[in-house]
Amino acid sequence: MRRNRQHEAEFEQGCMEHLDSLYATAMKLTRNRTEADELVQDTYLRAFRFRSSFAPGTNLRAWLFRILTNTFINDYRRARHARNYVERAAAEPLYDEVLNRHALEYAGNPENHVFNACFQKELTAALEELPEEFRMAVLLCDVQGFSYKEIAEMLELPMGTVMSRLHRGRRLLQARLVDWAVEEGIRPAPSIPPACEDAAQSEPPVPLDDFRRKKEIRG
Amino acid sequence: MNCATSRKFIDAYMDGELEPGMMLEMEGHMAACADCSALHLLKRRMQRALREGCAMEAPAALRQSVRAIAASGGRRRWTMVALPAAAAAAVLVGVLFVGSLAPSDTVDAVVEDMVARHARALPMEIADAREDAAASWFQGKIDFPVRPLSPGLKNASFEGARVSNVRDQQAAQMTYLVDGRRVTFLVFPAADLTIRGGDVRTVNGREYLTGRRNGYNVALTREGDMIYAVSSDLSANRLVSLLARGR
Repeated sequence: MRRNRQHEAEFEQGCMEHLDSLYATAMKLTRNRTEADELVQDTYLRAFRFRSSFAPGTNLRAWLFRILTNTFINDYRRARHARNYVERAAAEPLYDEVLNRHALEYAGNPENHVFNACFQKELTAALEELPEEFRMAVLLCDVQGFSYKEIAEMLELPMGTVMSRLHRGRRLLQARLVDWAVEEGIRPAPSIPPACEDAAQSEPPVPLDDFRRKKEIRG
Repeated sequence: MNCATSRKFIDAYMDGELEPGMMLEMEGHMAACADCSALHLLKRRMQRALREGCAMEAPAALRQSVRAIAASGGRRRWTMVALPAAAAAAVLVGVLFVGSLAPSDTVDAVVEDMVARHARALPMEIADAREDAAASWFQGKIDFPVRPLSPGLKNASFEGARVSNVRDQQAAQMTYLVDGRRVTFLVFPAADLTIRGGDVRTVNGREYLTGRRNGYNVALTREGDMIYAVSSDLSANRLVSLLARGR
């Protein structure tokens, strides 16, 4: 009995520790304070109501995020309005690597606080405009630091799908940064990307499993 | 390792998702190639900027609500402390209105609830179990006997079960996959629920009510003092025949 109570207290405390990161994610998913508030409450409601489905010793944080993302997908998702954005990025040559040394020479100095603040603001704004599924992948991986496997389990998707959403989401963010850098005069407008880079970029990321298999065969 | 290969794996490298051998190869390339390492640095900076830019503290009111949810064991939803007064008043009016409907529900209210249960797709409390194990699993959790649907179709499979509710009634919820579509099956006491409205169909002398909401169909039937209901994006006819076959 006492042990149970202790478990209970640990569970509750563990859940509370993730409130800030769940809220931050909910804000970026719903883009609305009231909805974020509701989404977080719904998440906790379910977490406590169905706590018996949490296996002690497993990753509580991943479990909570799984509830959050599922609740969002099922109850909060609405029409995709960011479609134009995707189509635009898919149609244009993907200058993934254009924002490289030029920008880095300017941005490379971590002491450049003004630049850092703008860069951060621009990126977060761009993130909010990403189509939901890409935004979710970037939020879970880049912001919350979950592994591909954890994200795949959370969203019940194949790992390859997670990787490609992440890849496309990141690339859209980079494209947006290039636009911004050009506007700010940090770098000239991108010319046609060099052929070799283009070749590397137009292909989707190689599935890790394929790569591993290749390695095995070779060696 | 050349640049083309490096660019393909640079994201997975940054995320630490490569196998150790490949990790080393990438590190070697990064040390040798200024372009790739500049790109890698930029990607890392982007990641850091995102992480820092998204960091947020939950408002104190939300923290308080979540504590209350925890204290209630997830049994009650806390009030929206953050809501402006006008919106809060609107919510209150809504609650009173729904409350006044409670004693004699129309089929719409039940359909709405059913669809909400189906659409939310909350995780099942038992999964990976056989259908006939569900009935005994519900014993002691729910105070009425539960017989699974047993759709008896070749392309139907049992996915899991959970305790749920419809209106104010406790309900046994089971999920099936039929033709690859998720079907939610709910069993709950009819109690003093009066169901009016909806389309009525008769199959083998038994009456079935159907309703539709948000693109989902619901079919339900009464057997003794229990209600058996299914909801899915399958057609209403299909759902009626599932119920008719399963009961």
